[in-house]
Amino acid sequence: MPEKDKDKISRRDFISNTIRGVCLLGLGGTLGLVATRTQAGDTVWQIDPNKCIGCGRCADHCVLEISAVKCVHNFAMCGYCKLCTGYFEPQPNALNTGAENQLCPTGAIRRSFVEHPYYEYEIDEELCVGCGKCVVGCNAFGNGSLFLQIRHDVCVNCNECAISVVCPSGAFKRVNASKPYILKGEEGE
Amino acid sequence: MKSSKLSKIISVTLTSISVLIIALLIYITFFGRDAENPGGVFSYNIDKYRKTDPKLIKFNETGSIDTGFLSVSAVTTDLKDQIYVAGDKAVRIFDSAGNLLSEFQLSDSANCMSVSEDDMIYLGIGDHVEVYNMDGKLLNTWKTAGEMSILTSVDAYGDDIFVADAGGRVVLRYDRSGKLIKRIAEPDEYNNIPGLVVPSPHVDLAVARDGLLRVVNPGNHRIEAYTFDGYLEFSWGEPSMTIEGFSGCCNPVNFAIMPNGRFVTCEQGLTRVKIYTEAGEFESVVAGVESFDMKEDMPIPDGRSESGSMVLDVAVDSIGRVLVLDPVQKSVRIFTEINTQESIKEEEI
Ligand code: SF4
Ligand code: SF4
Ligand code: SF4
Repeated sequence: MPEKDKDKISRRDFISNTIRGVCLLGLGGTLGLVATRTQAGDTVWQIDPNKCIGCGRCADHCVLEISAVKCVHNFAMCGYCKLCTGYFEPQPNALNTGAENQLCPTGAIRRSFVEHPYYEYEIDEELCVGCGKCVVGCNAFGNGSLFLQIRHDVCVNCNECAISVVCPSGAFKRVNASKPYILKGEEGE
Repeated sequence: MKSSKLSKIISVTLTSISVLIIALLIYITFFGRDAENPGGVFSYNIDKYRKTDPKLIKFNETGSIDTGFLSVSAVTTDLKDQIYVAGDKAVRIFDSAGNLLSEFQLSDSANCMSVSEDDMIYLGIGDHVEVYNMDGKLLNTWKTAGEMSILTSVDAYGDDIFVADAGGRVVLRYDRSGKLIKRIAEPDEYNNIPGLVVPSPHVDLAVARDGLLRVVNPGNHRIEAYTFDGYLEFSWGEPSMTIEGFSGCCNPVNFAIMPNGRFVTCEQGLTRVKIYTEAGEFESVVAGVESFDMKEDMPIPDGRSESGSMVLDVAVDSIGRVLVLDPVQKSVRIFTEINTQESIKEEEI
């Protein structure tokens, strides 16, 4: 970072300083799994969150019955909004956890109260099918803290990823197995 | 025994979840898509909110000023209807017809700007205020005390300089020399002040005709009215994707006050510019979503927000023209109310 920019607070640094979160993506445990499956210098598939447009194809083009692509949440970027546009339908009846108000088709996002007026949103990966609907909602109005990643504890690392073939934005790329995730909010910094 | 029962329950639960998800996927694959909604239940669809009822649009776009900047961040006007645009690391001053009058350089790019009655230009740059004269000479600068300060709005009003610090979630009232007089809009249960909810760094403010300071509380989708001593008098605004409300998690991002006291608001997400009465009732649309490049195929993360491409700023001039700073076109787009256009034509006749 150039010296003159050191004091500047970028948009990405802008987070709730009352409930400042840490990056709790839960990806740490799966790094070991990748390491046991791959050799040094191996590559694995990953989604570049800077390119993904959340088209929905990740949900139904993976060779697995339930997609290896999951939504992950960078808490450090999240606004902890009461009205989370990644959680709620565009025009919810009420800001509560009623199923009819939720955007996620599988109910994979858990909303919990932190402190007035902040709420935390966690992804239940068992339920997430990687459709990206919440990702689009979060990015359209919010800080873009929700994004899609291939989970390497599930992915079988096909020679040619079936989703990469249909991805309209060229978001799939091979990355080094020692650094298998592309974390939004960290890239380029 | 117990553990085998537990594992049976777990396996039945997991199997049911998997069956449900697979059933959903099969349904989506074969039945859930149509031409209008290709992603079926997997697609985030707000198309109906992107269409503006033409009957509600009461303004025409009557001109634009190419700023010549690579990126633009703030627009304001002065009493002579000169138009000031901050962009890159400079300020350019145009006359009301859009002719470039002058330009001066800044130490960095400014987020916000206001011109006082005596022609001093106040700029919010990162965590500090810089004051210039019309010749572009730096006269004064002061820093806010907050560690996380991001100044997003400034209004020079009489002897007061009001500054919105989105990072500190506070409005700071200074005198002209930069001496802090009052902290405003911080949570205060005793005085029924909820505090600013700021999911993304956009808090705008301006003093209205009634002499009260208006401050956007973006996470609450409201515009709040404060006395200069920091008492909250009233507020208005509702969250809604419909045209009457403020959409998304945090809006409006910017506003301006018309000569007749009405409010012009800008929203991000559903990029639209609207008019509200002085009392906060929705009145009409200046420019709907259709008027702006939505760039729907932009990469998700930063296509809109990080580039700031869809965060509009707005100013008005003395005849009620609405000046929208479009960060995609890098221009000031001029919108004129249809009634005003008609009255100008009548005068010409
Ligand atoms: S197919 Fe590509 S663009 Fe579509 S959701 Fe997956 S990564 Fe994103
Ligand atoms: S909306 Fe789609 S991507 Fe988001 S949590 Fe639900 S299933 Fe996962
Ligand atoms: S590599 Fe194979 S298993 Fe992994 S996400 Fe792509 S299609 Fe699915």
